[in-house]
Amino acid sequence: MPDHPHLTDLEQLLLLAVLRLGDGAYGAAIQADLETHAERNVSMGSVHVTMGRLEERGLAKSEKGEPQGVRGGKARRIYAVTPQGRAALEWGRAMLDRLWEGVPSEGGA
Amino acid sequence: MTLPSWVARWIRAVVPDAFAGDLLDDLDDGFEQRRRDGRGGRRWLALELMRTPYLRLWLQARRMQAAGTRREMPAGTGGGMGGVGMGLKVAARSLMKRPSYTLVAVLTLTASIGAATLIFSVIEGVMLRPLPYDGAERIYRIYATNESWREAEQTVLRESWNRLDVTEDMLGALRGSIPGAEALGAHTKATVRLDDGLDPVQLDGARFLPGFFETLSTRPVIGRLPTAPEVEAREPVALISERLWTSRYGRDPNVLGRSIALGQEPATIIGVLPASFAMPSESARWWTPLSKDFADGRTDVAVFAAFVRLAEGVHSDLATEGVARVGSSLADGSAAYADMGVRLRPLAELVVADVREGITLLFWAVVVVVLIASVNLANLVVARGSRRRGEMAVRSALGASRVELVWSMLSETALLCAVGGGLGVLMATQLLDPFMALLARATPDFPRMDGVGVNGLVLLFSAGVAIITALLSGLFPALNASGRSPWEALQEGRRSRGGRATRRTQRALLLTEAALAMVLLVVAGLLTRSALFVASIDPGYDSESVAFLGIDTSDERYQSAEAALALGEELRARLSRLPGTVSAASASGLPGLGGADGRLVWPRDGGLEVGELIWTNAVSPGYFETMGIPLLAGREFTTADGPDDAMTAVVSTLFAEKYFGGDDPVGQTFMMGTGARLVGGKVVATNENVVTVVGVVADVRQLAVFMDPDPGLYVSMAQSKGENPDIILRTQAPPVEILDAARAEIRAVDPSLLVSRADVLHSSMRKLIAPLEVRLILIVALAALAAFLTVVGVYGVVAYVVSDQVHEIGLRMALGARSTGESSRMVKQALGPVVFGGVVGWGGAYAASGLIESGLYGVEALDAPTYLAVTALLLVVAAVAAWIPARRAAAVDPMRVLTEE
Repeated sequence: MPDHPHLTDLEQLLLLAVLRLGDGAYGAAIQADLETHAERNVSMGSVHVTMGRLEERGLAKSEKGEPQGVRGGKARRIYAVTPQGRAALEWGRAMLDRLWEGVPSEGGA
Repeated sequence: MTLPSWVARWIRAVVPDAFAGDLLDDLDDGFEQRRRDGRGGRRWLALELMRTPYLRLWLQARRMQAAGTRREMPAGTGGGMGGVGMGLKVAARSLMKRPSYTLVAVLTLTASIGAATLIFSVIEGVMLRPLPYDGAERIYRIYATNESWREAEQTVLRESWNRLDVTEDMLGALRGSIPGAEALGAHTKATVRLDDGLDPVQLDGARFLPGFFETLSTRPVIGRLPTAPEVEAREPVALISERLWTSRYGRDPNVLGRSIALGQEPATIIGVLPASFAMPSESARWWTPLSKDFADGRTDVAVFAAFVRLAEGVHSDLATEGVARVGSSLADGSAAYADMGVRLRPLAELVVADVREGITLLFWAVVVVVLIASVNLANLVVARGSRRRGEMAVRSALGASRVELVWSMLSETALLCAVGGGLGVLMATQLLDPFMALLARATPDFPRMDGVGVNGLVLLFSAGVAIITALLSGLFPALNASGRSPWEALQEGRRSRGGRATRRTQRALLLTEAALAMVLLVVAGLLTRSALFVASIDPGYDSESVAFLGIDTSDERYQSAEAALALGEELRARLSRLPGTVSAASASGLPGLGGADGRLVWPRDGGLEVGELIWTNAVSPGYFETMGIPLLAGREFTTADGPDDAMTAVVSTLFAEKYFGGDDPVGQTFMMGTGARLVGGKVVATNENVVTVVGVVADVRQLAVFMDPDPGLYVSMAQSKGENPDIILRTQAPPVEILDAARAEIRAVDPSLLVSRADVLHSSMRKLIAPLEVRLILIVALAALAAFLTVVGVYGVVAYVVSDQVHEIGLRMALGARSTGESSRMVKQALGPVVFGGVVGWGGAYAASGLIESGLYGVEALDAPTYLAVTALLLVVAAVAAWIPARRAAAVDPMRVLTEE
């Protein structure tokens, strides 16, 4: 079996949110997205520290965005998913799919 | 930013910088969003802050740094807390948490760097700044030397053997014989009366030979310098100093062309020289070409201060050799110049020669204080470093580089030194004026005082001192603490935070400190003893109720001996009748103030060649009574010792012993020259007389209060050409109150008579001692500072050892050790290095005392009582300083220590 990095539940959610948000994937947006679509209340600190861990493992990357004209020229940190990160997500999803294949549907057979 | 500011401060304080900025930005976004939507922003914010995984953020930041996956990090992050800015920020925070430590350190540094700045600004202005002559570094003073005086019996000769003036013959031989010389100039100094239609005054100045202004080139403030033909022809032109121009003529440009008389010689003012033209000394006020009939046309009288200006690029060695050749050819060619030579000294060295020793001593004292301050700070840093060892080990394990660790420790000392240095400079600028006033009071003609100030070079020096202090005190302990493997450090564990290595370092530092302090303490001790000796000197006369007034008799009406004598008699008679006056006398010189002629004396059966220079004072009847000098045998001078009577003398006890041994000196005779002058290298009598001793008086310190009495003699004023005598008054009332009445009385005798000086003898003598006193005060102050810093060091080390060894002490006490025993063990441990350092310091002190030996009176450089006294002092204060924190050892509760285990 190829050595794919294992992702925790939170890591998967975060990477998915980053992918969904595209260019707008900064901390507050990620947090809001998780709250809206995954009903997960994650602290901002956890977002950053987990993204940091993913970066360290080469699954995500980040850079300072362009300073915004509005709101005092704040330069947000924008996260992005690396190809390895995407591969890890895909692999996780494929594994889940494979596992689901063996699960008898409720009330069947 | 819409976040409350306390949130930002909180986040920046507790979240590593790698995350703090981003986290804040995002919190700000979320907060604003919620506030806009009315969804309880504050509640959300509070929840966020509570749920923030602070520890994980720290660990993550460190891991990322260790793995090298740094984001574009703001300065200073992660395990090493690297970066200059962050280091300083952390340092400032940590210093604020320990205010007493910070205060002690900053005060120490402020005092030492401030003192260093103060002294250096004087050194820079007085000694380092170029002299105000063009190409001053190429100007040299030419001195004559006399080998035969090197071992002479008289102090005066011995001390001046290599600093003699030159004769006109020598100048002639030197002219054209010095390789690379551009110009050769000379002058002879004089103190004369200035008559210009205003109140007459007596002023110092110089008469110069051709080449003077070519050598010491300067630009006049107004007017012009004399032309070479004018000087050659010895035209009656005069230059005055800017100071005189200001004080006497109110900077009136019409002073040019004014006719004046300098010492009865008429002259016309043609120029004003800048105040910085301090030649021959700071007190010089006038310059005029040497008149033709100077010294009766003799060319072998040694009265000239000579200077040579070398051409650019000429090495002084070349000129020195040339000068030496001239000297030896003179010595070979003429018997008068037999033991003589000539040498060069750089001008810059000589202008400040009188104050150089004092300033140098102060400078080294300050260096010692700065070193002690560094050592002290180092000690504090070592103690702190060992407390932080665990932290260092963790950081190191987490990947902080050694440079980052060293910087994080160094940044504290750097910050302290920067603050201390800044405050020190501030202190120096505030103290500079009073300090200079003190120096000026102590040394009336202190050279080049105007140039002293805190300027760029001084600031550079202060910054240098601060940086060196920071490095000395911070680098060594920082390297020491960071250079160990984290494994080793973690192994050592928490039980002993310091460990042997730290204590060894501390002991070494304490030793250094004690040694340095000992050097200063010994020097201060020796100077104190010297000052006590000077204060206790019995000069041989009573100076308390004596006033004196110097009379200038250079007016042509008093040139004849009879007229001068008559004037003296009248003044004496009138002044002795002043209310409050006990007696009055006149004399050609005042004891203790350097007033005396030198006359050549030899036994009747010996020849002139065995003649010896003896100090001689011409005095009027009543002198010994007025001065309080006891008459031991025979009689004092009376009107019977008149100009036409046989020559008589009253001799001092030492003189009587030297010339007449055990015989009764009264009635004995000896030979004496009435004048003596320096001809070539020899003192030559100008006349000879048979002199009969009529009385013997007690010895006095005539030449200088600090010098042991020399044999001396007194001649009758009436039999001597007593020019410019001092009238001396013994009073009942405080002598200072009688001066004004005495001046009025003198004006009544002759309104044009010039009183050149008027003072109380006692205060004049005190002014002579003032430089010694000021030096003493400054050195004692610095020594006290050094001792205090050492005491602080001892206290700090003992306090550290006690808190470090709490466990050990508790264990010992549990095993039956007595608590007082524990305290005294602590004190002994601290005193060991102090004793050892003190002994090491003795060596340094002995070497340093060589610096001040020439200024010590009545005490040897290796004075055992001084050494022992200051050692005892240092030990006692160190013991007290050690005992205070050591008492805490006795308070250790063994039960608590063991339970903590």
